[in-house]
Amino acid sequence: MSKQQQRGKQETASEDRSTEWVGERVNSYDGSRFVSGHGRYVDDIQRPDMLHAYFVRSQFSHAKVLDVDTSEAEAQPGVELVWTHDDIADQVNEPFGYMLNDEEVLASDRVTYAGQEIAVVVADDRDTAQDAADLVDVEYERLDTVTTVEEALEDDAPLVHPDLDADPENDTDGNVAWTGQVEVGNYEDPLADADVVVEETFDTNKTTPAPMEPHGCIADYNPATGKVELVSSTQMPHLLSVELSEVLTEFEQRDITCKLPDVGGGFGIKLDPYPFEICSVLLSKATQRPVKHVLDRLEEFTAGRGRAPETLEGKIGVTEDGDIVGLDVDLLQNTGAAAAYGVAVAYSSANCGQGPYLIPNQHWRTKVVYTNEMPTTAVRGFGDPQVTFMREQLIEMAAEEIGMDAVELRLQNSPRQEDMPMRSDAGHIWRNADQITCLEKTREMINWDEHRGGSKTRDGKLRGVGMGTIMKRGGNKSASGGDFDEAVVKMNRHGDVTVLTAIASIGQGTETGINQMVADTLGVPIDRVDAVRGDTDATPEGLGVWADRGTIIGGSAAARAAEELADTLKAVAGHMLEVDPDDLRLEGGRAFVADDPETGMELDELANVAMLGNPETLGTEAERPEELRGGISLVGRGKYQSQEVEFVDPETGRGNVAHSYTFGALAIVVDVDPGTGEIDVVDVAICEDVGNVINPTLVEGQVQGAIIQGLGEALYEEYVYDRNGNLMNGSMIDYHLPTAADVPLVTKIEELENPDPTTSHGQKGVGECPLVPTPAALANAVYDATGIRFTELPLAPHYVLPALDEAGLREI
Amino acid sequence: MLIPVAPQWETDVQGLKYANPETVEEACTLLRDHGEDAAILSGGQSLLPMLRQRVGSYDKVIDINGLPDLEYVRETDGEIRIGCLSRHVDVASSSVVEEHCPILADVAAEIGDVQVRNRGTFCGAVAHADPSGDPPVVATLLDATIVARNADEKRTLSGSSFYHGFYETDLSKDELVTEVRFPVLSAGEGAGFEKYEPTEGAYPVATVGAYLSLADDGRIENATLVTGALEAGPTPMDDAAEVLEDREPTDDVLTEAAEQLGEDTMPVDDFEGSAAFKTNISKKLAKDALQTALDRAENER
Repeated sequence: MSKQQQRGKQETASEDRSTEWVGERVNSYDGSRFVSGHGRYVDDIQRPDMLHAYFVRSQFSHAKVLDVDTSEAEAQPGVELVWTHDDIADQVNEPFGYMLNDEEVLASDRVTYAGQEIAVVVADDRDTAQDAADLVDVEYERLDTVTTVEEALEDDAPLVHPDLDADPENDTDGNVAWTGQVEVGNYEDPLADADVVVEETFDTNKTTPAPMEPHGCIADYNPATGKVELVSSTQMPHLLSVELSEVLTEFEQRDITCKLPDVGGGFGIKLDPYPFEICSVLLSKATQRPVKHVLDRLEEFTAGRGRAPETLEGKIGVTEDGDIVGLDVDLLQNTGAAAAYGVAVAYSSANCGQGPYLIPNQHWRTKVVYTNEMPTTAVRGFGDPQVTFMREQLIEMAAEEIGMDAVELRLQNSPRQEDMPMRSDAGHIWRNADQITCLEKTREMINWDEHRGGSKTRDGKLRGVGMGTIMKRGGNKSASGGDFDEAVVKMNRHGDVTVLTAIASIGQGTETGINQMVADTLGVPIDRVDAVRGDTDATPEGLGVWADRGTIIGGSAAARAAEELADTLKAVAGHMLEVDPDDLRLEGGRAFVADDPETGMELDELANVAMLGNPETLGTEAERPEELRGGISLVGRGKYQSQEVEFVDPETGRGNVAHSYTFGALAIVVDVDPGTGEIDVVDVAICEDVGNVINPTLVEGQVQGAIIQGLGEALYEEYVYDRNGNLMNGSMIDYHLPTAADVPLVTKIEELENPDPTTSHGQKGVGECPLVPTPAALANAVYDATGIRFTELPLAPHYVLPALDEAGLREI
Repeated sequence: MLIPVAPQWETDVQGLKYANPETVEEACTLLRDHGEDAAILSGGQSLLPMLRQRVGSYDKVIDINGLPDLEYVRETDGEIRIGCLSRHVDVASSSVVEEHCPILADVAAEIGDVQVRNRGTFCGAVAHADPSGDPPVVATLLDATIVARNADEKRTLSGSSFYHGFYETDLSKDELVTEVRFPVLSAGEGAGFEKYEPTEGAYPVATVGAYLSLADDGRIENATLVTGALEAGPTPMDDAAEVLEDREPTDDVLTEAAEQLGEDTMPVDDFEGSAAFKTNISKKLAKDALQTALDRAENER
């Protein structure tokens, strides 16, 4: 690998902390279990006497449900229950939803997308449930369908939620679920100072991140306690219990214990409270038996939710000298039949839509629009990939228009590290980030000057280079009401450490980074640290993993908890060694005097002495310092609550939406085949300022994975619906995910390590960032190669070849 | 003479009756008695996804993987013979194929993914007649000989007239394909195969096979062009082939034939692309396949 590390990092940690593990290529905490086949996902878990649920899903995208006949299904041997909406209506608060109340658990009298849950069958085994579900007879009356925002916004459009539109208490207006705006500077005429205005309309695609493990859960209700244990493949165990308690009338948060199994990928779509989770709880309560439901792959495609497609009508204004003076954007989001996280996707993408630039005048107008398609929700990047696809293309168009190199234009309009901390035009608090070096390094690694302007390869391909940039939120207070996590770090008498955290592991490795930070704080070997994650009975409160917040917020909380424990250990050691605890250092499994390493003791001995707390070793309580009296607790507690993060102002759309921001740039070289329209990604380079790298291997994995995911969405993936709202390609055969053979091994990865002064180890967000600029950089590269501006995703051959044909570039 | 045996349905797999006969005779007897609702399992690359998705009208599976002496790729009497238990990888890596009919290796090496190629059988793909399948295209192109047996007899079928639309062939439901034979291509003959698949290992959206033979004076003597995936299975493109016959194999002539193929093919619009897109891409595939065929013919194969 050609990876280079910028190692001259500033220390943000207290000076006496070990640096043995942070920054090292520690193996993933779960890695050996996963690669040796000892993972334990929801569907691996069996409980005695467990029932299996299977859903009857709507065949139509929009219809009245006239009748649901369950009699034949109920008569099947092995079938325990068949439920329709009437059976649960008095046990749920409906409509429900994460941000807008627009969902039913089971459809009552109307269905609004093909795949929506209408009834649920519970049987002794899954096959029986599935066969019985086929026997449930649903009588429909078809209604007119809307599948595009254009149709949905017409005056006489069929309404997806007529009841919400009619409700004077509800903001829904026609098919518009939510309207927002961002107003910056002279927002009424944001392009007033421009010499040149470039405008274009862009359309992004609806996609699924297709986690290897589908959604699934086991609900296990205990009639004696009235509590339910829910093992669910989720990204947010604690928030899930909060969300579910709001829907389930007979359950408080304390009645719902959420426990994480191993989770085989989340990418955002495992954040919402889903109908299958709600039904499983109620079914377990009704049958007094555990109930499992795991979505199959076809259900994932039709009801597992995905990325919201957006139409972005953008104008950018620049001066002849290359100053970006204004941005004016209309953003329409096709949110599907329910908004889920769509509102947050919309406001945060508009709020962050300026990217890593100084743009003094901006006006964004945002609408979230209902259609009769599968609901969309959070997906890695959370709206940033969509707006970046627009913004970075507008920037390269503007650069061409004024005859300036596109990287130079970016450099000229980027914030300077020396001006930070600073407020961005849209209200973000930017701290210690070096975007200039990110741009320059990326330009150098990709050989920008050599490729730029397009060329023809020896085998007749059209080659070009393009760029995209990153300014990605880490956290999102308006979506979660605050940004905090708690952690507990405890030690046993042998000096083994356990971290208890609400941070979920969804394969990304956040727990490994947290363990490294804790290991350094306590000076213990990494293999003495274990993690307990996401068990609401055991782990302290927190918000889960999304928006790149895990290592920033959860990691800082765990480091604080470890510091509290470290202080206790030092106090004990200081007492035992008769030295000032402040002179002690914890490292390599020992506590010792920093200036006199010979004077010290092993941590396992120290732990044993502290845990037993006997006067024979520690002296009487009267002889001890005050903090060692009344029992010595080897439990450290920590909480990290961002004080910087703000709610987005509802009037102006401005505000510091997240705790921290990660900057960066990515460039792509493509070869376009003029015979087939196929795009070969021949080179990728990325430089990000991720703060101090906790684990280079895991960072590289996230970078590579995010870029590949972005390439998949940019090159191949799309939900294709027919006019009736039926998904035409809802299977792994027909929905084309990239394979290893389709994409390059990304090795030009450079991480700048300018630490965030507010986090425990200077860390910033990483996991979502590299996806954000990928579709934009790809489209810019294809333009450089062909002179054709592709404004719609994906850039699949069946869209590229016709455009090449029209431009006279097609060859055979 | 085949000896009838009683069917032995040994196991019940997910509601399916399963048998694994040990001889061809046993397999054919099972097919005679149950062929209407039985599926043959060789590699399972097509059957198992169908079963998992609960499509297909089978309630019995006859697993032929235990049949003896049917795993071979060899040259006999001027033909390459592929036994019905030979996997795609066996064809792709066969030195006999490489020497005498390399288009078969081109096809076999690009089917599905590594797992599919390690398990799926070439003859199974010929018999299954998936409209997007690659082996049916080359079986049609080179007029393979398909050897089929039932409980009473063995017969041979012609690859060029074997296919009749979606999953439809000349095979009867009581027949088992035991072998497929391809001609050894001799000096002055060449064949090429090209396909467009949206991602690696996906089902192809368009395929073209091309065969050329050159006369002593270097002109094209015979030509055959066959498309796959564009219509309901392998589709001979005779008018395009006719463009080539008795012509000098210049780049312009190959282009003219490729354009003709594109004009004649009749794909439909779907989520993989418009008919116009598929037409255009088929022209490119035809040109490339013809170029490979010509290169091989001019290099004496």
